[in-house]
Amino acid sequence: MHIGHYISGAAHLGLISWALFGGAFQSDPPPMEVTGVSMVSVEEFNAILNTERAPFPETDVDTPVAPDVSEDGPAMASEADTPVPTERPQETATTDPDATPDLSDLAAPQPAEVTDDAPTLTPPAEEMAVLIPRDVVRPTARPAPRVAPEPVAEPAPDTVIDDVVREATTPDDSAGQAVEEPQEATAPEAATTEIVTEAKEQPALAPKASMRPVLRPPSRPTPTSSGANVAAGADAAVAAALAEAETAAAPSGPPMTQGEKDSMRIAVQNCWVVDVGGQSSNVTVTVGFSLTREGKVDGPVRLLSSEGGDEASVNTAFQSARRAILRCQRGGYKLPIEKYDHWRDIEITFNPEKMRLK
Amino acid sequence: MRLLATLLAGLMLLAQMAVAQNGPLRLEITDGVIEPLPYAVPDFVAENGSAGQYASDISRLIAADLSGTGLFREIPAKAHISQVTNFASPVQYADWKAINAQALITGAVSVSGNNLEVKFRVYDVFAGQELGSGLRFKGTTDGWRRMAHKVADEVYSRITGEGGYFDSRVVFVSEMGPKNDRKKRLAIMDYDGANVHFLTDSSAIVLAPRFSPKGDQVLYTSYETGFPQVFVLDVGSVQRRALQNQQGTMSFAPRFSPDGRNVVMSITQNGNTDIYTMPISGGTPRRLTNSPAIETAPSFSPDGSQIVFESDRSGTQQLYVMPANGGEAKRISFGQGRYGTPVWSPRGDLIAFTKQNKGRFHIGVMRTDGSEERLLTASFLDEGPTWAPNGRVIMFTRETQGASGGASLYSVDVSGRNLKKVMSGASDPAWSPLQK
Amino acid sequence: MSGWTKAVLLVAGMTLAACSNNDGLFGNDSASGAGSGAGAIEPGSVNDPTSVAYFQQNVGDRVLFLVDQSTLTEEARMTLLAQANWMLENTDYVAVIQGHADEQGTREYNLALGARRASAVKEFLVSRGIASNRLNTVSYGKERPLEICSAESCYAQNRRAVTVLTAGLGS
Repeated sequence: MHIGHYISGAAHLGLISWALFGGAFQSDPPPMEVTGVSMVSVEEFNAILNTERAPFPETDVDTPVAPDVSEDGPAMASEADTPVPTERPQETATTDPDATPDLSDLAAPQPAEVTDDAPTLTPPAEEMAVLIPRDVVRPTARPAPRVAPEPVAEPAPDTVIDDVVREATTPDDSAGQAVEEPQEATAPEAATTEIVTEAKEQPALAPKASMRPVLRPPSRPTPTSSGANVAAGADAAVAAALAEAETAAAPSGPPMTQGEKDSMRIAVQNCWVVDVGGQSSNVTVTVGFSLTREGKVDGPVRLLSSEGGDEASVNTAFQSARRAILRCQRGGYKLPIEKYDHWRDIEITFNPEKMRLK
Repeated sequence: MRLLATLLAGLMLLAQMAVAQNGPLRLEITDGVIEPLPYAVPDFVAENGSAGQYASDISRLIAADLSGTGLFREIPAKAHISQVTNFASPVQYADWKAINAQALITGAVSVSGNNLEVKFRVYDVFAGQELGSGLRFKGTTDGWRRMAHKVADEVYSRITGEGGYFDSRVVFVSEMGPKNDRKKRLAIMDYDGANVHFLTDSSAIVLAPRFSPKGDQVLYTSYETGFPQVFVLDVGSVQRRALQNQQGTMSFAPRFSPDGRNVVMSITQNGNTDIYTMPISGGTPRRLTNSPAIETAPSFSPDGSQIVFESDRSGTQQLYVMPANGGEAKRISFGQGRYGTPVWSPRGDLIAFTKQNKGRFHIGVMRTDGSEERLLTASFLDEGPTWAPNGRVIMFTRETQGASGGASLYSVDVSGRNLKKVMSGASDPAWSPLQK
Repeated sequence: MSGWTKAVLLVAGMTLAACSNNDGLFGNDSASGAGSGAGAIEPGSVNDPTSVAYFQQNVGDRVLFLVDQSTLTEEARMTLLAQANWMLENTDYVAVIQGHADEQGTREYNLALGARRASAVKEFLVSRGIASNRLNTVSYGKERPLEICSAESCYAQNRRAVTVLTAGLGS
């Protein structure tokens, strides 16, 4: 008899306490990641569609640049100056450069860098599209002066044009990066993914691809590291890994992951300018070079092999490839130090075949 | 347990070391960017008193040439960190890298009497070295524009690896007046619209002038005899003569052969238009096509072995290629619409044309076998393309519609970029070869 | 009657006969001067059936063509028939037939198209008995439009062949 009471009482107590305190036992929902989304005003949206030339870079010299003291022009020995211009050789090369007509669909922008943002960004774009009155002048000129693998939104008018996105940093930067001196906001020049000639269809009112948010610095893929604890936040992770790996295992390290190789590829390709109307866009070149542990180019960039084109266009293609590697190194390519043996020597093949189709 | 872990770690280490000997990291890049190359051209140094204005004008014209191609973007003087005050001083590459200039052009100008001397050097800033060697041009002061164009051509070709086109001229028809009473006269100008000179008056209709391979003569069609006839005009003396004037015929659409000795054109007899050829020095025209259809607008390949032309033998205007001596013609245009005014590129790789489709006109290019057709423009009325000497830019006529419509010259890059107006009140352009 | 009076009467009769108009003209048109006295017709005016003005206004000096066509429509043939008849009657004239095209085409092709149109007109007139050496053809392509709007109503007027008469020895 009493047992029944006890059981019932316990059960009631249990029920009541579960009702009152049960919430405490549920796991918390995963922490909400709050990221900044750039809201685009109607003017800016119109500006994206009717983009004129991006403004010229300002003079401000505060952006820190690793001074390269090693260069020093040997070029000053004044060469023999020819007194009279010689004749331009006739262009009778019968190589076939040029492009095919139709565009395949645009590749969606790489999701890796903007996973959290892409879904939240498109709805505002569509709403903005509705707001625009029907008689907006459809752009007759190309939407952007620059063509790049990923579309880039027109930066805010007073940002300096640079290849890296940086926001004006303040000392209490929340992303956990190493604090740098205050910098101006910079952003890449506006770009589209294709050449839009006058003969092509008028672009739709909404941009074809969602815009990269202007303010968020691109996150880098997190390198796996056998010894270090990987912290949240990509740059922080690399910095941390670098710091810890200095004291870590032998230099050989594990092989490069695809993500790390991709990061190097992406780092260089943004500086690789292809002259699509010219003969050099028929030429594939392979160049080789070495990097120091800091990721800076060590020694000359050498032409290893080439395919297609005549001597002049091979030379032009090589110059373009070399410039790409030298320009995009900045303070040094960011690669995991513990895998240095795997990336000390690099060979890159630059193949413009796909570019000609744009 | 610990022993096992250490053993495993050791094995892994060995394994990685083995892998590490595998050679360099190999990557392939297929996606680059298309953007104008940023460059800087600080004002050339004036090496003596009277050279100041020329130095600055020449520098500005070089910048206009380069930036006008759409392949280059100038970083303006106010952004420059260091100044160039002496042509012989070493270049502070760091200063130019800091403002993101990838190419740097420096120069110096000196003037004595009517003589003008211009020197220049080009630098690849990020490679930290000179591109090619410095050059010096000598000429007269009234030829300063040509000198600037020659410098720009050198810079252009060192960076792109191809010939330039800035030191060239364009012959065209200057148009005035309303659509139903247009006054037309032949004119010639620098490719950028400067230095316009008239070659005929407007007393007779003149059409479609074309340069000789040396740029010293112009073939065109004139109504001065009352009928359209082909005339030859010497550019230097402005003297002209009819090429042939056979009673009862009309001749038009003339072009030079690449060796400058022969002319190919259309002749209409009894209502039928065919293609003929004859020596520039005169003689009897020899027939190359023989069909009741309209055959016109012939153009030689740069090696002189073939002729591309338009014919409506299939029912609508299409493009055909035949051997230069006549013979079987092969059709090369197959898209929707009508094709006309074909012109073979000086590089030999492409044929430019006018296409009409669904009430719109386009300038387009295709390979010489007809493949890879690409349209570069679209408007109410575009026609009559002509190639720049390096085969990378096309100039053409654009007419606007309506009673107040007029004709203008436009140019566009062969990739379809950089469409821009060159001159209003003008039509039928023909680009000269690069001047020597 | 005296012999002299007879002679005067005879001469007067012959003079009158010499002054009479050609027969062929009366059949064509109601605007002939048959009803009014001979002195009311001003030579060279529209009312003068031998004048160029008459040819232009009453016979019709032009025919129109369909887009891209150089074949003669039924209406064109009727006008050209009248032209042929007039020229057979007025043998003092030669003609230049001008062919034109509208602006919807490239320059050279339009020159050739205008030439085809002019030639079609010439062939028709020759087939109606006009001597070939009285007729010349020229093409203006799209260079001399009559109407300048960019619409079919104007284009239709521009696609034409005009027969332009000049006095000359026809033989």
